[in-house]
Amino acid sequence: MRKPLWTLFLSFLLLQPAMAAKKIYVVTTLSTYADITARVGGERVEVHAIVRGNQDAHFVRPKPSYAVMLQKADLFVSTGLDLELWAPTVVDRAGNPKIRSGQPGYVAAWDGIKLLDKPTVLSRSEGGLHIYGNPHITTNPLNLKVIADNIVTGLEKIDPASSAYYRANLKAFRDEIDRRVFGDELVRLMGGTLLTRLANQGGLIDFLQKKSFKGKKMIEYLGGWLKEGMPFRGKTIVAYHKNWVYFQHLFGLRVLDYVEPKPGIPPSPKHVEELIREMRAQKVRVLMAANYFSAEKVHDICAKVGAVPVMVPMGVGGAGGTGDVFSLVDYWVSHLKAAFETVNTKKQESEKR
Amino acid sequence: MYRTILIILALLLQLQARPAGQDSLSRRLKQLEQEVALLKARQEENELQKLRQEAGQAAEQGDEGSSNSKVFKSGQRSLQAINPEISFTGDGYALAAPQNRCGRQQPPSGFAFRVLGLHVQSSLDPFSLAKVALEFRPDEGVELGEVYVTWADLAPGLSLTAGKFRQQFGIVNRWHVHSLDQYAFPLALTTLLGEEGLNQSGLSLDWLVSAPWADATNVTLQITNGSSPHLFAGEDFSFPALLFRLGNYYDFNENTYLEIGFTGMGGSNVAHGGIGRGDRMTRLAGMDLTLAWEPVNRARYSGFVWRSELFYVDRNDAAERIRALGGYSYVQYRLSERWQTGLRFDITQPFQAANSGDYQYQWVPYLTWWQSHWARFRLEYTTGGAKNMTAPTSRLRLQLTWAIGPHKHERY
Repeated sequence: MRKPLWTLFLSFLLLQPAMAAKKIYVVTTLSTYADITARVGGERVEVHAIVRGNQDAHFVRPKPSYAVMLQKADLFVSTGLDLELWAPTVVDRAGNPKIRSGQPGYVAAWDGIKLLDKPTVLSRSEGGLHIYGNPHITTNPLNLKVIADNIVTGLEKIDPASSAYYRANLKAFRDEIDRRVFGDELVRLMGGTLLTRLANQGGLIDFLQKKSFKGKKMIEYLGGWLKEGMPFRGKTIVAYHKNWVYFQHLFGLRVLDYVEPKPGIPPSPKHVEELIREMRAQKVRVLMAANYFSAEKVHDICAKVGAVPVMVPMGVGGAGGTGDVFSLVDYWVSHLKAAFETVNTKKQESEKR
Repeated sequence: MYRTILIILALLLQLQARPAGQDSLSRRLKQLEQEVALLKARQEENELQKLRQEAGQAAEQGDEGSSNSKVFKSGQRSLQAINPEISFTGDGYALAAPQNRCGRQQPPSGFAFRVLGLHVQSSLDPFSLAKVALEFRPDEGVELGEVYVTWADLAPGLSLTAGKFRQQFGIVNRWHVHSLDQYAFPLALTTLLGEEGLNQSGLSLDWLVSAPWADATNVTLQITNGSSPHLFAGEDFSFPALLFRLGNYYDFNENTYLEIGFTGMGGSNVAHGGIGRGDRMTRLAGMDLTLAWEPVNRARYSGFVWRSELFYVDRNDAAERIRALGGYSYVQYRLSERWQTGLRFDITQPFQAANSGDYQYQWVPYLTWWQSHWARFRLEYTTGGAKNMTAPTSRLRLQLTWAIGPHKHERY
């Protein structure tokens, strides 16, 4: 009778180290941050996201169940910049001092990213304001490298013993992003860091078009999403909300106007009429919107103008085939490219007639 | 060019070569080929280095200017930047109500401004947060709505609030009047808990628990002055009032949740030294239920809330014993990004003794239009009836509520 008891006791003792190596419990606001955390944290983290990929991060009810999640969290990752206006309420309710702003268990994803679209006038007459700059930082895949850096810094503070492991995963992630953005060959020639600097500065494509190597124009070495996005570089679209500022910057898109008259202000019929007139006059035939906005409104405008709607998720998992950050950016680029191809086909057909 | 050099070198070597030296010739040729390849690689590397340098220079363009152009500023006398968050809320209306038999209207038709709220909040220090709400009413002057300090991280899930606050008796009693889903508090709340609801000074402990029977459980314990003249002893209170609420929260799925809460409260209604007079007590009980559906992908455009509360008061004082029951229930549906509609039903017994069979009820249909997140119009009709009580006046009201500054409401 005593033997089984002893066996049980010994098993418990043997299991102790395994139990001690418990996973770091990470809660992120956006699903995109959760995917990045899972990549750099590997099997040493357990990650939960609050905002779904097809959900508007501005408007989330601060439910008690989120507070319970944060109560257990070792690390909390949010954008900051007042994107998640509801987050301070949930943090207050959680009563977990480790994850408060400024504490080791908090990561502000935006840190280190050059913010665009800083308001020059701080007034509600401008609609919803983000006083430090546009918070939709995840739409530029190069920013994801900085976000991954920040998350790894946060993980290291909690689990310094695994630093080398996180750093190795971070390097793999950064390299993969570089290859996906610029293509293998250009990264091999110029290095991802230099290309990223040049792209963020806004002069990459111009540089590649002017310079040659081995008798070939450098632009011919370009691959990845930037090459795929060349058909819409310099083209003009209409967007629903200022979601795509960072994407525009990388892919050289122009935005004529927005469906929202000002950020966060619902479109009035008068504004929609003016927008339609403007789209017709400027021959803008693509409307891009996050898929949590009104599909009816987007399709209605497009039908009146003969434009192609591009409704895509803002975050990972927000539509079929966007299960990770790579497939999410694939989705944005391929859908936008397809829209411009459709526009061209329609144009050619109408010219033939 | 390299190919030409190679051919010339090969020809020269071939001319000099003797039959016995065929092997050495091919060796030499191979060696030369390697040297040329090396030269070629070096040249490519140099070319690449130059390109990288140029790219680096191009990337630096537009960066900060030279250090000589820097202007140094002290940044002193700029502490106004840490002033607290200050917001104003405004609440006014236009009312149409029929005249009563005496030719008087109650309340009168016309335009009126109900309340101007001044809301201030700021972190006091790394440990606590303070909130102040002052209410300016045209007919009543300035009133201290709420003023309290909260220590949010007292212990895991535990927060402490000290000050004057709207008490957590059910759900809507906690809210400010301008943030209600309808124009006014439900009849049962104003009749049984007092005209402005329960708002007393004291301490509140809130504990968020991960209980096995719910997705989240909130336990609230409040000890306050029994200063409500309606329920307790008024300004001359001598015994604190105790409130306990248990709120159970359930996520049915990512779009739907349910919350059920139970509240109990008790306190003495004897002024000046009435401690221990168990027969002179006021006891309250409440139950609340909220069912909300809000599709995560369409939260801007669609949503539904059903909220109901029951209130029961038992006030036993020297002269009489009042036992009264009341409640309300409303449904609200979001029609689009800007439009919401709803219907509330209120019913209550009068707050008086011997009220068996007496009641008052009202229906409140309404339509809300959000101009933006900071300005809202509401058209609301109220009508009702009563038994052995005054029936609520039928009235149509157009309300405008607005907020200046960072003011926001965070409900779930």
